[in-house]
Amino acid sequence: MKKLIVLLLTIAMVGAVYAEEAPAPVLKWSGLLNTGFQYDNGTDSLYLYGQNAGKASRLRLNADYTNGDFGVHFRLQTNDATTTAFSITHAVVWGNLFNNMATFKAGLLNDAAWATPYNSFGSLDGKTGVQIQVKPIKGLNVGVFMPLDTTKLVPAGNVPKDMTFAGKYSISGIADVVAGLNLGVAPVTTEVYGSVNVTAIENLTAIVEADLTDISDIANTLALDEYASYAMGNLAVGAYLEQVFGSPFGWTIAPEVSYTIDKAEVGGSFTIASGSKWSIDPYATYTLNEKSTVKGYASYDDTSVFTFGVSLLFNF
Amino acid sequence: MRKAKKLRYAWICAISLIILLTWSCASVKDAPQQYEVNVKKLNANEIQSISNWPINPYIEPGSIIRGKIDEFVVIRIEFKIEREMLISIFGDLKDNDGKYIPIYYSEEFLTYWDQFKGSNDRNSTQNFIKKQNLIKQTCIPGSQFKLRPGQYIYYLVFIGPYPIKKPARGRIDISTSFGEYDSILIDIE
Repeated sequence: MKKLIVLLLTIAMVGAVYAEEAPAPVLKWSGLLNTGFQYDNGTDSLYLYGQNAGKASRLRLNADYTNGDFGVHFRLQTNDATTTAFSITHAVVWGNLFNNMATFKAGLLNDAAWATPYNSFGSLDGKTGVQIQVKPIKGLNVGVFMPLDTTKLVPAGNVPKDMTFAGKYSISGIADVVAGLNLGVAPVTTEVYGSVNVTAIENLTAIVEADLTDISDIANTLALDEYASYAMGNLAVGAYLEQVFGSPFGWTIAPEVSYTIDKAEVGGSFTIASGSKWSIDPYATYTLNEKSTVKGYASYDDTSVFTFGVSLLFNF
Repeated sequence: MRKAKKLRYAWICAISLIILLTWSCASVKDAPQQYEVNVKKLNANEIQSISNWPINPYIEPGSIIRGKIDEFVVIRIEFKIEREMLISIFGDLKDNDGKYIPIYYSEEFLTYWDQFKGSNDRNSTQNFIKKQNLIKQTCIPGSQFKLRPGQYIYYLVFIGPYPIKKPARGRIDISTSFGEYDSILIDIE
């Protein structure tokens, strides 16, 4: 009892001292440029190539205004930085309510709270609508996303039927579990997805993901993905596997290895897939300035196409 | 005779008291220590040794043009726990202008790194997942959390706009559900 009183008094005193000062409003600007070049002997040509944008360079400008528990996020992006063809890819108003027990986001979203970590199944990045996240207990985030179909492909009356219900539960020191259901109204397909990301063992990454689309259709497709990697000091070994139960059945196996020396990482993977497809993909990356990297990569595949390139990723 | 008896009783009482006190002190000394904490502010080399560079979340993100955007103050906290207990951690750090530098617990720290996800290629995605998992495994989970018996190493992160105006001063208060209390001063020159 005495100890409990001491603890409560301590918490009360410390709490009073640390009653958080309201942070001042903050406007942050940031951006990204992903560019580079690539050569392949299939076309025998050297061309501009960004790993995120294909045969182009991606330029991204972000603005984040935060005022306490509310904020606005904007992103302008072009996938061809040689033009001025920018488009708005994020335009979000967000707010944390009830001492962060709930969060709402509205607009052209940037959210991945309920997305699977590897393949981003269930990501709301780039989707238009309203999302409500509820966090009733520590580690649990559940909620609903209601799309607002700006393309008018879904009749207005059917929009509520196109909602997504999803959630994530982070069991501290064990795993993160994600599950979601996108009800789907034609032409959007019904989708169920989920993942387990094991966090129990330091240096081990182990993820299993599943995505089932077109549930109501006999021709539905189930994709299962597994990724595991174990780091032993600077050396990491792992493998990515995928099985697609559809028509036809497909599979992929891709063992990988990487070695890190300070800011440099060298590695590679060997991918073999159904249909006698295979490729060898070595790479080397160098971190220039924390989040800006230069990556050199090459690839040789079963069609005898040899590709090599350099990719530059600058955060600013 | 009567005086001698009194003297004997006094001796017995005194010796009993000494034995009682000795036993009492000894029992306190021999009681298993339920909790031990070591706190250390890490320097750049120590931060880099936490993990490989591409997945180390305790190294500040930066940009080619603007350099570092934020500055991290990373505190290593090592717990040795004999019994399951509730830990409370509060921190207060202010820069030389008296500006408050907030703590980023695990969830806030994950959100912080989300904005630097960067490239979508397989290798970058894998490194990002590993970075997130390292945060979940090593960053202080919240202002209150439960620990089972064992030895744990956590990192507490304060994040302020770069550069944090020095000297920055503050303290970390750690208390347990068994009444132990530690207050550690932080002084960053």
